[in-house]
Amino acid sequence: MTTTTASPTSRERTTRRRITFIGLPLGLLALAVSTLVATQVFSIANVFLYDSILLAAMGSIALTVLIGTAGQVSIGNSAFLAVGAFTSVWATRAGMPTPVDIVLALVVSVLLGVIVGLAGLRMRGLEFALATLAAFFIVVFLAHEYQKGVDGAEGGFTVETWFSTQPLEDAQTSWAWLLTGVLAVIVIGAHRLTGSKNGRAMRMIRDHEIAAPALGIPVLRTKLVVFALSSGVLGLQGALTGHLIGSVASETFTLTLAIQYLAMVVIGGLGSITGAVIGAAVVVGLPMVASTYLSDALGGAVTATEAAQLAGIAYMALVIGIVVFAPKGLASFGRHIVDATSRFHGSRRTRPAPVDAAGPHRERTSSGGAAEVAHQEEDSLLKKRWNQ
Amino acid sequence: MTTHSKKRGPRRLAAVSLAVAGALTLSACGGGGDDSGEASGSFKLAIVSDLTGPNAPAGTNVTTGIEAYVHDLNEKGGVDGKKIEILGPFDGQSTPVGTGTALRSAIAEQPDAMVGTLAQTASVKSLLESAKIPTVINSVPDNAWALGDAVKPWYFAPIAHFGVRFPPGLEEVLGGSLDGKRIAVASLDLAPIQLTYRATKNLLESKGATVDEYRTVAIDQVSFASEAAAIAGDKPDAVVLGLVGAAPKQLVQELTQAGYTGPIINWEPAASREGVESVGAPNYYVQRGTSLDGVEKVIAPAAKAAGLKISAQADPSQGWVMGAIAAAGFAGCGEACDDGDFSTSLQSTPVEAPGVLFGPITYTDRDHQGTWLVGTYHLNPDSKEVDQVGEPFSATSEDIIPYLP
Amino acid sequence: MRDVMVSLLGGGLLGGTYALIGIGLVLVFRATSTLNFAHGQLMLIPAFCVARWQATHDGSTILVIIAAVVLTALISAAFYALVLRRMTGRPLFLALIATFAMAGLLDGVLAMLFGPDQYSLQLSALPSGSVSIAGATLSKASLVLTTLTVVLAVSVVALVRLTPLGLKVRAAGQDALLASQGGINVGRVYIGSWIAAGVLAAVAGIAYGSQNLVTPSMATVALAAFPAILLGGLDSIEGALVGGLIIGVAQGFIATYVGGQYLNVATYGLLLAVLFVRPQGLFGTRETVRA
Repeated sequence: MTTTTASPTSRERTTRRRITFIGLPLGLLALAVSTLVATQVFSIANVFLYDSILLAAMGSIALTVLIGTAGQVSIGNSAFLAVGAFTSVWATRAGMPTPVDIVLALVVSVLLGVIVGLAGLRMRGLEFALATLAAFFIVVFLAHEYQKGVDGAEGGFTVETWFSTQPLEDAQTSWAWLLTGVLAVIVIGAHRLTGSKNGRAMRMIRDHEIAAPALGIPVLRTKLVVFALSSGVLGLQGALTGHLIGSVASETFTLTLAIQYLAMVVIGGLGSITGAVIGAAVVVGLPMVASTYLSDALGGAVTATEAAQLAGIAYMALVIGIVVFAPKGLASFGRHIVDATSRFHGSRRTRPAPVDAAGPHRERTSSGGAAEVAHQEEDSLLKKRWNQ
Repeated sequence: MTTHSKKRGPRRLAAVSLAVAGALTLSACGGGGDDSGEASGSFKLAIVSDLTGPNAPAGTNVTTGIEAYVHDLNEKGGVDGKKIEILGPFDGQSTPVGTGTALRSAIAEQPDAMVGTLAQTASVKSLLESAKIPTVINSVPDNAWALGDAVKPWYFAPIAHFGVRFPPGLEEVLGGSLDGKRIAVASLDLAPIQLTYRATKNLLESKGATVDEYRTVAIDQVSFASEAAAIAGDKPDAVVLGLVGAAPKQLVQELTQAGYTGPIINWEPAASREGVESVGAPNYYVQRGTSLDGVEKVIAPAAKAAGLKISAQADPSQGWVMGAIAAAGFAGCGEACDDGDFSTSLQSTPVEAPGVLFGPITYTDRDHQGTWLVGTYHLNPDSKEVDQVGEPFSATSEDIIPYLP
Repeated sequence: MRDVMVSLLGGGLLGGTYALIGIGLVLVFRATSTLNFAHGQLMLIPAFCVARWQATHDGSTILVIIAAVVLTALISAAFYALVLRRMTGRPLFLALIATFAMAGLLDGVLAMLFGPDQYSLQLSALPSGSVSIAGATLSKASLVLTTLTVVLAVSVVALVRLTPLGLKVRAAGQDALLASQGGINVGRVYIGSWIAAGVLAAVAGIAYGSQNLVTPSMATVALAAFPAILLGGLDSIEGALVGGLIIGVAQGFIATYVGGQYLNVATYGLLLAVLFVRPQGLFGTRETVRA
């Protein structure tokens, strides 16, 4: 007999716990498998695209933690991509050998991130978001001035690409594995951060910032940590991108780029790490893939240009659609599957509901202690208003 | 008691698998480019251009021009009986990632040559270098590739530096030597074209002129008004511009209002008769490497026959000429294009495009931008028609070499 | 003195444009608590439509202008009704993303419909020729337009401040629940705000487009209106007028005396300064609570 009681059975909880335990390792395995398949099967153009997606996923994860988990809405944080890229260029031109310029880019981004975090203490919500937008334009302007001042680099800096001694296919494959490794580290780090005490602190700051100190949460330290880390990851991504693509130019850091990263976060689902990866794949890959697919499908009816334009419009419509109809992003579908699985397993037997200290009131749709808290927290983000 | 830890795990499992499956499916779907048709018997020409993004206007116009030329040439029998097959066009999307992907897709098809116009060529420098496929692209990743001793034999860059104002062009308009004349150069504060204006300044100063530079960042009325006021106040003998589209008209109006009545000379490859007419000022001159009649008399009919659309403001002349350059390169290839056949052919045979070019383009082993004939047009105050001023002058890219950074 | 006049008048037209856009942004902000980043595209739509019509047809354009303004208002209202209204109660970050996505969507549609061409817009009703003031030659058309935009902006402000309709708008913006209990149809006020914002943006777009080029990059003009409304106060309609004029004239002076390449960074620097020093702007209300 299927249960209609609201409280989860212990079998359901056990199932959920088991899925949880293998979740992260399995996810990482899936990532490794997909890289393996991609490098073997894809054409060099698509491997390059895959590499770009891996890079974008880093920044996307950083932003989803910053905006989704910690609630610090920073629209202009993509400026750190420029910070990382230009620091790496400056370091290389100053004579530093290869890994050092990346490390320096990381360090500088972390420090600047802390400064942004400090500035964010004075402002809330909308004001802070606009301030970060202003800061974005100012950073890009400074990068542009630096670029203009260097002879021969007026159109952008040329950067040494890594693995250039290898033939193109092997170089792309090497990049794919390198980026997979870096991304895996970031995924593990983000998972640790959001799951631990820091994660709880971040969520509390996001939802009830005024009450947080009363609960013993070090607001200042937590905010600075999350800013430092997310900015550092973005800076790292910027520096690596320069070495993959082979050039760094201030003109490429546009408002459109900043919005694309926000779109990645929203499409995937605020606060969800896998969502961030999905979002990156969609935003980076979809325009490319869709225009090819559309022009093949529609054949001669549409020129290549029109197909590309249609793809661009479709992808914007997708973002609006998700925002309106599925605000928790694509990752929420995965959540539903897991919930359903746990419930299915848990419904085989009925048992008297164990006395639960979480409280006597449960909704019918609740599906487990941990998940319920997650739902509540997601909902509270949903209800957050700017003026709090 | 509820636990807070590890609630992302379950989601990650399902969603990552979903993401991976989705990404794999999506990416596998996108093949990138058309399948190459017949294997032998044709030259494969890949078009790589920015079809979307900020550089789309240039990219689409060039693409149309190339396609029209190739179709027309194939109708007439092709290159020594062999047709040219077009691969793509591959869209560079005006971004580094897009350009990198497009170029990789093109290279994977192993074309005999690549043509197009891309804004982000700096990001594909190493890719082009390792591929070494004959390339005729409208933007140079490195000036040394096309001019000077370090010329890449397989790289040709048409028109990239023709924003440079060559002294004969100004002498033509001013009706005499430049010695002692004061010239105002009004440019945009865009990094890639700064080389152009530096070379212009040096070239003109080498003829004895004094050159003042004025730069605006934005193309809007406030910037133009203040710039025009500044220029008019300094009373130059000639003003040199580098604006396209509807912008020159605005600046010319501001200059006239500010009291400047001398010649205003623009390099505008995309000018049309209507465009020059609409500026309405007889002191406005346009210099370009292709004839204003070319679009109407030669390219438009060819495009129509090929089923291509040319929009009112578009000028596919550059693309047409690129097609001609590619064909001239193929002419020296014979059965197959081996290393160097393409470039040897271009260095020994002038490129012709009757009706569009004023005269043949010639290349040397130190100059892969070429020597062109450039014509000057203006609105004739008497006949109220746009006609050519004087004879086309020779603009030799080799003259720019001393001014490369 | 000539430079001062050029800066003042050039900046004046910009200021009038910013004021019109800013008032629209504030109206929309008071209604739905969102900053509308798609306002630039609302400027572009009528400008492109009218310019394209003029390029292909002769004759009077006044009807086309009215039609274009109406179209823009409809698009604006539709965006509110179909997208933003469904998002009440959702986090405002999502609404912000929705406006960005709308901007991108409109950009894409405009690119498809109008292609990459640049257009120029002629308003034949404007006088031609120029007039000399204090050593500077200024176009009469520019002066007339500046006056018109400023007058329109002031009228809207007066409407909101002094008329009963304006009272309803202010009440609904301040506290929707109380207002609706007081008999005000809040929903109608909201959609009216979005329609009005669309109309104002359309007028601004046509005015600006007639003195400059109509290109897709014209949308970035609207972005510069954000510092203006922050300076004036996000929820203050008078503030939008004042802030718009101040920022416009400031930009005029910066372009002349410092150089156009610093325009963007100076404007955003000013935005940052306002946020640090006086986040509520000149006339806004301080709503955030400091912990």
